[in-house]
Parts: sequence; structure tokens; C-alpha cells
Amino acid sequence: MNAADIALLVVLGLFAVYAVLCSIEFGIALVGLFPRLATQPKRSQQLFTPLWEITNVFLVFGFIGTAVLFNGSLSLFSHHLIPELATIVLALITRAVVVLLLFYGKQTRQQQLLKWLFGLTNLVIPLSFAAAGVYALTGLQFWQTGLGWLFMSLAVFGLFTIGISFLNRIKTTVEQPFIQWLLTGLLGSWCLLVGFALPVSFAHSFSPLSNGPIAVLSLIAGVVLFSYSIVALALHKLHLTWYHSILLGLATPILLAWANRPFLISGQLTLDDSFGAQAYIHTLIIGLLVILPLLLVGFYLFGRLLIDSTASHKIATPKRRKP
Amino acid sequence: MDTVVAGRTLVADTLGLHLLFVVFGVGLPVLISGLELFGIITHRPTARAIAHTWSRILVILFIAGAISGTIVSLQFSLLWPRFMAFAGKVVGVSFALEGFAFLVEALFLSIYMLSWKRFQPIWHWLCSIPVVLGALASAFFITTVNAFMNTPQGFDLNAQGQPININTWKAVFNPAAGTEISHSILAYIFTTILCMAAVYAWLLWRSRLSGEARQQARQLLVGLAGLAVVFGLLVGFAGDQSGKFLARSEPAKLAAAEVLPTTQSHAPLIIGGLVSGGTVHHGLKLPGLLSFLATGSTHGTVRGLDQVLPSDRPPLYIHYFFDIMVGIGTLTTIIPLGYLLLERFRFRWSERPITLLALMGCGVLALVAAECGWMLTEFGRQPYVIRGILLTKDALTQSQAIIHFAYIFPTFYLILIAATVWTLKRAVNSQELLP
Repeated sequence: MNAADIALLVVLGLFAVYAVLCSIEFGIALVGLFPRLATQPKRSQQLFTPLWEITNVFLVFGFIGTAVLFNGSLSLFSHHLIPELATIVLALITRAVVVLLLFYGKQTRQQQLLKWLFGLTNLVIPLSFAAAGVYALTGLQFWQTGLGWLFMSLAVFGLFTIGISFLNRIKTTVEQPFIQWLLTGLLGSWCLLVGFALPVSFAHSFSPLSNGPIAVLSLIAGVVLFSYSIVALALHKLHLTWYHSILLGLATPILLAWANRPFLISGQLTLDDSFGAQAYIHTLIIGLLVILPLLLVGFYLFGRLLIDSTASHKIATPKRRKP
Repeated sequence: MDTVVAGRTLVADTLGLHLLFVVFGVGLPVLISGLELFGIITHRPTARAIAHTWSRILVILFIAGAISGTIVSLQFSLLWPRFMAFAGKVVGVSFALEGFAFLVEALFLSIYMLSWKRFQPIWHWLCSIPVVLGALASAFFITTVNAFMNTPQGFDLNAQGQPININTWKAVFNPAAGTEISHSILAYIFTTILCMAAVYAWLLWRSRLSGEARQQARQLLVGLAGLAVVFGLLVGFAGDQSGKFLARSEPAKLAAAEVLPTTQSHAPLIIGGLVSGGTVHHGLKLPGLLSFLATGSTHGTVRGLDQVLPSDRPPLYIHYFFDIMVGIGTLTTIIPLGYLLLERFRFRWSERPITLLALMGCGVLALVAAECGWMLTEFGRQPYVIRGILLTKDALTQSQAIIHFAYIFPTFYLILIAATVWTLKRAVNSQELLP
């Protein structure tokens, strides 16, 4: 394993965390539209606050990391991925506007429209990133190959499954048959894609993925985990479903890109040829070691504050005054 | 519109928008933290309450700023691949550290906001320290990248024009870093102070306040005006150092800003006027002052545009940006000083509409000055994106698609600004600013 491999793992890790957080956000947006999707819809809504912008930090990290560590790839990416980039940027702006209006606006009819927009932007952003990932894995845009469409389907099912299963994580048993059937259907579809459609598609493509032992291993692990989740659902148990789906959500992009080695962009550019700026990776690793404890304390406090709603210290409240 | 113009327009729009949020993103945490500490030390719960209100404003601006910042990083990477490839190799560390700083700021801002009523005041104030440090560090590291673009060092170039023998820290702490960082961060805090003062001047101007609230608004306004004078002087000092640095290390930028065609001693400072045909018409000429400001002596030699190849000269219209920035900086220091004097000696005059309007104007003008300062830096470096190393037109992507987006994006940015202003208006009422 050389510095380029470590750099790839770091960047993939950042994007994977972003993908999972984004999926949860998408789940929250879905529950806002369809409260039946969560056993405790109000609690799910409370999870998301305007302070959730930490999600975007991972996006910035991942993107700058790619741009700086694999700077040899920028010309190719910028030439082929401008439509995806523009879509992401427009969706990010729309999302920011919608978040502001949703949290600070009045409860009006427009709120429903805003919720739809919020859901849509939370779908478009990760899918655009998935499309960029497909380009790296296949060297082609996703709409040009069957494999590309399969990867995009995988991303869509992943988004729905992680989002819905996470928001039902509090309950250990399935109380609503609708949620049980929905999650079983999503996991089953994902299972079919990972266990059947992708290996068949690999076999007919020239992708390095088709020969990668890690890709095969990840496919088998995915099928086993999802099958286990489906069995758990059949037994009316929810507690492992969200855990499995998040684990797979984190692992899938990492394993797929890892299996794509030695290429960064399949058939066009290798990791070593695009790698530069070793100082950055050193800083990133040292920074994570130094700052990680601070961040862990921060996230712990953040989590506790979200869960604990008791207030003990008063702030002077505004008084009504007459002119 | 060709691709170079489209690319530059896109980045100019994005950075122009982002800078508005950067100003408050750096200035507000410092002032809020200071106000909260003041409230704790002096046992004034109202000071904490005001800090709380302003922290809610900070969150709204942070949401919009985080998005514009994310867009900046996306655009830099994909619109300017050759720039990012070069800068990434040499000063990629700054991008990484800026990311860390932003992560710390975002996380602790969440904790800070959620813990107002749950932590002891002093513990809560301690949560503001990482927010302040994160904001300052974020501005510090990203400004080092801009400084590197102005005075690149810490590497050699190979035959293909690629950087080799890279000394990252030498590149990060390049000659322009000190003056640029101090000037910009002080200016962000100064601008935020003026905007806060403008809000309280507006509250007083509306004349709907009770006697107690009016008194409180006046106290706050006096405090903010005092801070504005102090920071105005500090920004002026940092600006003077920047000017001297430009004369030494970026003479083309200074010569273009002052429209100095030839190298000369006893060089005049030209204020105002119209730039046309390589010279300034109808400007106020102050003989020897440019030499004095640039070198410390009225007989000092200031290098002119004749020292630079015609193809490497920055556009002369940066003279306007320079004059507007310096003019507003001077005016927005004098007006708060005048307000303090009026408050001290002629109390009634201090609450007259004209005085309050002038203070309100300072807030808006300060934002204009911040934008002009940034434009002076960026346009003054043209035609290079990394001075003397990489031309702007060579750094751009080959994709033609960006031309369409150059038209679409500004519309979305206007919507974002409108939504932010609307949200601020809805989320915070005037009574909360004077509890």
C-alpha cells in the first residue's frame, strides 16, 4: 500500500460518511412528506436542525481532497463532469433556500411544496455524486452503459433504505406492517442488484472490477448482510436493519473504488499517475489524529444536547415595550 | 461570452456572494463571544441575551455561507483544474487545514447554539472559543492560498512548468501572507462592527423605543462606535503596510491602482478621476504622497507600469476599486468618531436622523469596501491566476458547458440572498436585539 492508496482511502472515507449523512437527511425529508414511513415521525423531524450543516463539511473535505490529492485527474473530471457539478451546485443553493424557508417560515400551504423541494434536492445531490462515481468506475457516463444504470439503481435503493431504516432505529420491533414490507422490498431489491445483476454485468464488461477479489468479497458480504436483515424483518425485528444498511452504505463506495485499482478513472487514469501533494495527506492524517479527540468530544456533546431537551439556565427574555 | 469570461464570471459571482458571508462568519463569532464574556464578567444578563440574539443571526448567515463556501470549493476544483492541480501540490495543506477549521467551527457552533440554556454561562462561553478559533483559522488558511497566488514561492519549476522541490511551509507562509491576513481579518471584524452599529442606529431612527430601550441602544451604539474607531485605525495601519508591501513585491498592482505609467520619485497620489487612455482625468493629484505612502519618503522611487510587459499589466480600472476601498475605510472611521464626539459634547445631535443615517450608511458602505478590496486583489493580479506562473486563461477547464451556467448561477445566488434576508427578518425581531 503506497501513499496514493492511503489518500484514496481517506477521500473515500469522507465521501462515504457524506453519503450516509445525506441518506439520513433524505430519509428525514421523506418522513416530512410521508409520516407513515417512521414509527415516530416527530422525533425524526427533530433530528434535523439548520445546524445539520456539518454534513457539508464532509462534502467539502472529500471534494478538496480529491482535487488536491489526485490533481492529475482534475482535467478529465472537469471535462466530463461539468453537468453533474452544475446540478449539485444548483441543488445545494436550492436546498439552502428551502432549509431557511422551512425552518423560519410560517406553516402555510407552501410548506408542502418546500418539503417536496427539500426531498428532491436531497435526492439529486447524492445521485449526482453517484453519477460522478460511476464515471470513475466505468470511464463512461452512467446513461451510456447498463452497468452505469445498475450502479445508479444501487445508489437510489441505498438512499431509501438507509434513510428509512435509520429513522426507525429507535424501535426494535416492527409495529407497522407497511414499514416492514417497504424495508423488505428495498433490501430485497438491493440484494438482487448486488447479488445477481452486478456480477452478471461485470462478467460482460471490461471493467477491472470484474476481476477484483475485493469486489467479489464485498458482493458476497452485501448479500449475506442484506439477507440477514430480511430475515430479521420477517421476524418483525428492526434493530439490525439500520445498522446493516449504514455499514453497507459506508463500505460500498470504498470497496468499489478500491476494487477499481490501479485505476482512479477506469481504463483512463491510474491512481499513481493522478496522485500528487503528499504533504496534504500527511496533514490530513496528522490533523485527524490531533483534532479527532476534539471532534469526538464535540460530537458526543452535540448528540447529548440533541437527545436531552431539559433546560436549566435561563437567558433574559425580551419584554414587550410600547413606544 | 467565451469560456474564459464565463469561468471568471462564475467565480466572481460566487466569491462576491461568499465574501458577504465570510465577513460575518469571521466578525460575528469574535464579537458575540466578547459580548457574552462581558456579560458574564459584569453580571449583566442582558448582554448575554443580546449575544444570544446575534448568535441566532450568525446561524442563519452560517447556513447560507456554508453553502456558498461549498460551491466555491466545487467550482475551484472543476472550473480551474490546472490552478487546483498546481496550488494543490504546493499549498494543498492550507486547503486541508481550512477544512479542519471549518469542521471545528460548524460542530461547536451547533453545540454553542444548543447549550445556551443548558450549560453554566462560563462553560457555555468556553464553547464559543472553538467557534472563534475555527472562524479565524479558516480565514487565515484560505487567505494564505490567496497570498500564495500573489507571491508564489517554495518550489522550483521543471521543464514542463510543474512544481518540484516543494517546501510547503515556505509556500504557505509566503511574503504576502502577513499583510493580507492581518488586513483582511481586521477588515472583516471592522465591517461586522459597522453593520451591527447600523442595526442599532436603525432601531434608534425608527423612534419606537421606550426610554429604557433607547438608553440601551445608545449605550450599545457608543460601544460599537468606539470599537469601530479602534478597528478602523487598525485596518488603516494594516492597509498602509499592505500598500508598502505592494510597492516592494507587487509593483504592477500598485502602479495600476494608482495609474502610474512610469517609474518615478516624488510620485503623486491620485484620488478619484476617470481612467481613460492609460491616464486619470479630473483626479485630485497630491504630489509626492504616493512615494511617501509607499516608501516613507516623498522622494522615494515608485515603480511604474513601464517596468512590466504590456501583456502582463493589470487592468487600470482597479484604480476605482482602490479609491472606493480607501475612501470608504476613511469615511467609516471618521463617522463613528464623529458620533462619539457628538455623544460626548452635543448629545442632542447624536440622535438626529442625519447622524443615524450616516451610521446606517457605514454598514452598507463597509460591505462595499470589503468587496472592492477583494476585487482589487483579484483584478490586480491579472492576467495571472498565480502571479508570473500560470495565466488565468490557461488554468480554465476545456468544457464549453460553463458558458450556459454563467447565466443561470447569478439568478440562484440572488434567490439565496433574498431568502437569507427574508429569514433574518422573520427570525429576529427588534425587541430581541434590545432585551
